Amino acid sequence: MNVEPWLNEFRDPDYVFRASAILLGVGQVVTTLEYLWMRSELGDGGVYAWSVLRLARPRRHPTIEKLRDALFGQAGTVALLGLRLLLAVTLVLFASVAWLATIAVVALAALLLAFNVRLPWGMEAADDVAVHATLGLAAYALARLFDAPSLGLYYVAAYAGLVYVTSGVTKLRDADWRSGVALGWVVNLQVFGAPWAVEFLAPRPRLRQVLSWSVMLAEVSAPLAVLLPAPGIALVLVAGLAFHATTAICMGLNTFVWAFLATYPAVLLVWTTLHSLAIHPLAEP
Amino acid sequence: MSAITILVSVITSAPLVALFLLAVRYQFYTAQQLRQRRPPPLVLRRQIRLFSPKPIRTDVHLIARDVRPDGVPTPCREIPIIQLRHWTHVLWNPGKRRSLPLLSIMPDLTAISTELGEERAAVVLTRPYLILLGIVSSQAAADARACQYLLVERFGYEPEFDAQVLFCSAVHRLDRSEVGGDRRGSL
Repeated sequence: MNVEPWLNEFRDPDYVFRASAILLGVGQVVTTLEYLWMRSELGDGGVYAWSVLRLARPRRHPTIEKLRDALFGQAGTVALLGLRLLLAVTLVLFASVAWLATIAVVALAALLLAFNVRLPWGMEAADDVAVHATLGLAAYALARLFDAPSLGLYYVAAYAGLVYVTSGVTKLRDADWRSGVALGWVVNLQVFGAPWAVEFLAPRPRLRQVLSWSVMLAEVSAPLAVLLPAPGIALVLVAGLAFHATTAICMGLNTFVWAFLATYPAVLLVWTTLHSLAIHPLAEP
Repeated sequence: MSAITILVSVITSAPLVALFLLAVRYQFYTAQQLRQRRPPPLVLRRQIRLFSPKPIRTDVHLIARDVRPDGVPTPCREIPIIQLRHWTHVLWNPGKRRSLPLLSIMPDLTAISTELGEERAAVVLTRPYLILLGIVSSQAAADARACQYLLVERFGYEPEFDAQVLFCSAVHRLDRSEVGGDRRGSL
């Protein structure tokens, strides 16, 4: 199967923006609905009670504090989540309407930064990747209004690469990951694991070690994928998707799939850019 | 390219370049350095490790008991935080929005408690402590006079290991709050 014509679609930054925005939007719809489902946790007696969390915020002018309490109290946060849901749905449905997508992605970036302050704990790596992907998309969308080039989409790809490499390197430095023992610990947890995964992996130490090394090497070498030919990069991204789908099934990390998938179009933009340069090198001065 | 185009390019790209370089630098800080540093503005930089180098090995469970009006404590009960894995979690997993904070709260609480040293009693004024007290007091029996909680760790699905107590709170008297008749713990 020749995937190159399809991959070459990602040469167009607008196409990349639309693809990323839709995937990011779907992930944000799921994340926001999860928070809305658990909205009782935002009030007193919940894990995100603002009456307690506000104690760690610096004192401000009383008017600002009143505004902050109104926004970050339970009712205000639910309203902000409603707005976040609306913006995410807008991204999914209207990613190709430039002005609407720009408003949605810029407003979403501002809202996600506000939620970074409001929800100081319980954020996953997927939430962090989503914030940075939104920032990159917002920068691209704003620059596009002026027909100006921007590094926004390249930032999305670079941040995904940083996340993969960092977690791969730190795992490689640990003997428990290299031996496969750490993988057994993770799947054994009630909060992240699954009983069927424990039953399957516990009696198979060699398989645990092979899986651990596969993950570590894939994470460390992820950025090198942009140097591969078309079938290679396609295979790497499919493997990445399969990895995140597996963690969603075994560990319940459902939003990782959408957050990381949203960065893949930007990775393909880097791939097409590099390969264009290789095929049509810049003229020497 | 016009001057405005160049300006827009710089404005939309330069902060991202700076942010990326700072994010790379942030990955090299040790745990001790991170504790000494102020949190980055808007929490824009994090150390993303994806379960490395040492993944957590134990689940943390929140255990509570009330003190009845006659002064007798009730048996300990677990306040459900962790949802066991279900196939629907591949798409929809709202329960983790309740269980993940506990993974941060527990090490925060123990780290603060250790840092306080001789003044460990001041731990009751910290956010993690107060959040857990809020959860426990909101679920206390209607006629309870006081409540107390424990943080307990267990090795996941391994039944042969006994649970270990990580933290034991003080006993807190429960008062009717002035607002809405909620039950609140008092220090």
